[in-house]
Amino acid sequence: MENIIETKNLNFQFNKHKKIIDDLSIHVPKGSIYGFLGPNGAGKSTTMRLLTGIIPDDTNAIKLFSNTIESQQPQVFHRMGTLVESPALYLHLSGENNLKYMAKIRGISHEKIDEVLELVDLTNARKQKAKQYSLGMKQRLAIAMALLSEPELLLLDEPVNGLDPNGIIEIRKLLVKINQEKGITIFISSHLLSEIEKMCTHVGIIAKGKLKFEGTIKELSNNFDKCKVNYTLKNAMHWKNTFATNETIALEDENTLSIILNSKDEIPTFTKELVEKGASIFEIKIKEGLEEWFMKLTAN
Amino acid sequence: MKNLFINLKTAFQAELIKKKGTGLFWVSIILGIISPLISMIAILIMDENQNTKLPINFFNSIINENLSPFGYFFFTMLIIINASRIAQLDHRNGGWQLMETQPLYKISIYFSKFFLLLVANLISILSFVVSCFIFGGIYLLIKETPENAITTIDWSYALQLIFRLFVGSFFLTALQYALSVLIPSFIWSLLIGFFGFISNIILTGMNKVPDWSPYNILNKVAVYNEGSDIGNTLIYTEKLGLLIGLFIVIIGFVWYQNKSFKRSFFKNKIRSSISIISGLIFGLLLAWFMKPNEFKPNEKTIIAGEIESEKPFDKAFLIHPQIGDTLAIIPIKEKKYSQEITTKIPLDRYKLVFGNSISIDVLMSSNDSIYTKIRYLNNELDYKNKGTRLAESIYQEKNSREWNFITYYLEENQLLNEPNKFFDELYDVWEEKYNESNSFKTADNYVFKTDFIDKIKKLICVEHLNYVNQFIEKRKAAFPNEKTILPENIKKIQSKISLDDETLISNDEYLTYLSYELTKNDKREIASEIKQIEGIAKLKNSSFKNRLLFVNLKKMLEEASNSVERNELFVTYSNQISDSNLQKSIAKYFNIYEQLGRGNVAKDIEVITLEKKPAKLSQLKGKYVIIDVWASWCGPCKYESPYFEKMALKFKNENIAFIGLNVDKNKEKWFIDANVKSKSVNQWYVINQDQMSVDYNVEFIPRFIFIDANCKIINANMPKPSESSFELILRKEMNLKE
Repeated sequence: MENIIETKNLNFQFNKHKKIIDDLSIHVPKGSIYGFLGPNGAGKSTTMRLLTGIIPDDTNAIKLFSNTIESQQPQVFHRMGTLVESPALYLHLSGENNLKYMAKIRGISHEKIDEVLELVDLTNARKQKAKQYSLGMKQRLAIAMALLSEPELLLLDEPVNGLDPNGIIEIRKLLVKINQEKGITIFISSHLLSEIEKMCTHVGIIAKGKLKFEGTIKELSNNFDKCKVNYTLKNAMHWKNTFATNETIALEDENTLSIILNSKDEIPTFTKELVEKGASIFEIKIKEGLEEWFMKLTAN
Repeated sequence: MKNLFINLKTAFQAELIKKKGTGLFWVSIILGIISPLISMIAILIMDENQNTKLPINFFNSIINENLSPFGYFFFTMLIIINASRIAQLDHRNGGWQLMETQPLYKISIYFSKFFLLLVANLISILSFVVSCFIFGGIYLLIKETPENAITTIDWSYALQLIFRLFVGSFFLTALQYALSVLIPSFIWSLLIGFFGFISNIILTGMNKVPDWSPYNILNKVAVYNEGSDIGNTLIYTEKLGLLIGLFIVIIGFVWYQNKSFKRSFFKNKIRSSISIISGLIFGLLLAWFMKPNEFKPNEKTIIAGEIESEKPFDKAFLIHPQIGDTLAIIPIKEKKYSQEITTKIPLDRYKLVFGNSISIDVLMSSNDSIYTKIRYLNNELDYKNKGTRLAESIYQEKNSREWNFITYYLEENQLLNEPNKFFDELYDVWEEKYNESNSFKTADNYVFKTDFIDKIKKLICVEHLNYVNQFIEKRKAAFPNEKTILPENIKKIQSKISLDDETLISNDEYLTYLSYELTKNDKREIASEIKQIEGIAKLKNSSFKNRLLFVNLKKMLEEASNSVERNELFVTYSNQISDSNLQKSIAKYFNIYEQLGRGNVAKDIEVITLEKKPAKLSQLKGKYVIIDVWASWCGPCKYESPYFEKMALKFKNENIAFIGLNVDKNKEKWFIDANVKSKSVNQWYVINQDQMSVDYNVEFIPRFIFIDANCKIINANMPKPSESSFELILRKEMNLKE
């Protein structure tokens, strides 16, 4: 499949001692919604800035639409909409004038403004100054500005940051809609897996400047469809011997057993079985799952 | 290239959308009209008289009055504030990143905003000029048109000024814009701007502003509102500002484009060398451009010019400032003249005399070419010298003696007991002035020729040596028993001035210095003039001695109180002048002064009275006679005339006749003018004017001649009736009570 964004061993550092981006190679296929995940400070925003050329990439490790950024500056931005510093708006202008400004730069007719206003549900607030908008409205206006020219690629840096759950859902819906209806490739960064898990087709996970995982959302869940659970209970040794046939059961210490289940769904069944056999369970803890794995990255 | 232009245009149009609601252009308009508005209200309320003697364009004078407050203050502030605001629009909410992720070239982003600033500048300038026109028009509607005011709009002046202000604002705009873009915090660009503005004011006060100060270029537009002296559209500082401004624009853009200074200019070896070479080229260009201009000496010595006056002149005389001898007679054709001077003339301020009413100063020497534009209308004289002595002429016009501590000490008799402290302070003042004497430059960066610098340096020495001598005299009076020993530093100043410097001979201060030095050891109790002339006579024979002797002798001959004294002076000293021309000249003056001296018979004058009957001066024998020589074209005459008439009324009952002697070429004109004058003065028209002019040595009018009842001269050159001594002399001579 054709990759719209591709980086090959991308490195970046502000000073000699600390690498912000370390050998990053990502591949964003056309038509995908690519979730770029990582805890705060992992290098997401820096990557975003490199991808948009705001920070110049002197090594030419980035390819957008199969070419280096430098070679297609600034026309490449006709093909992509970006929302880097969210939300980059002119607060002294009305929502409509913000869009007019963008339309002027991108050479787009004014009818399109009504269309995107409708799309992001800001038609009623178009004459209001942007400084009077709520955070969600500002975020939607910024997305509208990025969408105005019907780009092939949309780069969104934490677009749902700071929104209430309703707002998050709305934006998520919106993004899925434009991806499906218009075939726009979306590259979206976030620090919360749950935020984007549900809409992404592809995921890249970055921590400390290094890529930890890249693949489709299915590959990701496949990686973590087994679930390791720790049980804290009396006389662990006894219970290990009871389930001696199950090879995944191991003794962690004298009060702890670990077991690998096929999915989380099996936890109640197995627990029930234990209880029925008379085990006194003090604590059940999921040790490894997608969320846990991701949390571990975040914690570090 | 075409793409880039379209891209830039798009970016600019987008900026116009972005600036909506910021009031950017409104602020520009308001700051443009504020000064004309305030001054017009002030003029209307205070009801000031706007009349002028020489014709002046009314609208231009309004513009010029407001140019300094606008250019130096309001416009400068506007540029600093606008630049900061326009950059802050994008600093505040990630606008720069937003723009950089649009299909816009960086060059478009940077320059679209810069052009918007330039447009705001232009709007402010236009509203300034247009508001001057509008408020001027309102004034003309409400009030009477001022006397001699030209009330048409001088478009060429307005357009040139608009252009100069626009160019003058370029450097400051480029600088403030670059600062505002590169520094995200709004406070720094504003602080730097205001700091620059204020330090410029302080440095202006100390007369130490560098030519390249961006905060001073607009001030220079106001200072030199008439523009270039040599016909350029832009003056030197404006061109310099344009040059540095272009450099700043490029630096600012490259810096912005590459985000950091190091990456912009020293990223790799190639870029470092490009930066260094460009910097060097710019430095050299700047040094070449800032090099002061000097006029090359001409092959010939030319004196030329044009004169605008009500009365036509057919010739002018170039006269030596002290000796008074005519160096050249210059014919005037159709109000213009141009003449080569073939005799060698040293650097001096010569006098160019038209008819016997106007005299202007022309500073020149051999191999100069001077063009003078003269206006003499409504008895007001205005002239400007241009040509190879441009800088010197402008300096002479402006230069006036400044107050300093030394004159203060002398006036207040301070430090008389501490001579060394006084001398040290004097030396410091002298040194500063001496070293700064060549710092003057014109609007077009022309500087003095070296001979003039030498001369003003000498004059600075002379000025301070005179202070030294004054101090010594004062000290002598205060402490008769103490000797004043001159320290080395003062002797150093003294060594720079010789006692026979011909180039300084027409300078009064030098003559003061000279007479002091020549007579300081002469302890005799006689008049100081005698000591002086004796001192001069003792000098070695030289052209310097001749001239000095001539000047002193001429003055003494003129002031001699009787014929015996005058004869004695003439016999003793005239043959000490070894130059035959000067000797002839002094003999001529001697004869004139003798003829016109007290007790000589007043030569008769034939006239026509107002009744158109012939008459003679001698008919008035038996009465004292006081004569006012005047002409209808002569301004100072008109000024004195009412005083003369007042005196006539005051002395109505005394044995004295008041005569107005007219020397107009046109008798009819005299007849009309004389008929409206007071009948207390007899109005006569002189028939043979040339003869009278020779008989009474009439060089200038008005001239007042006092004759006694026996037709003998009392005073052939009376003070003017507007001076109180006029009446005192009349009363004393006629034995009347005061």
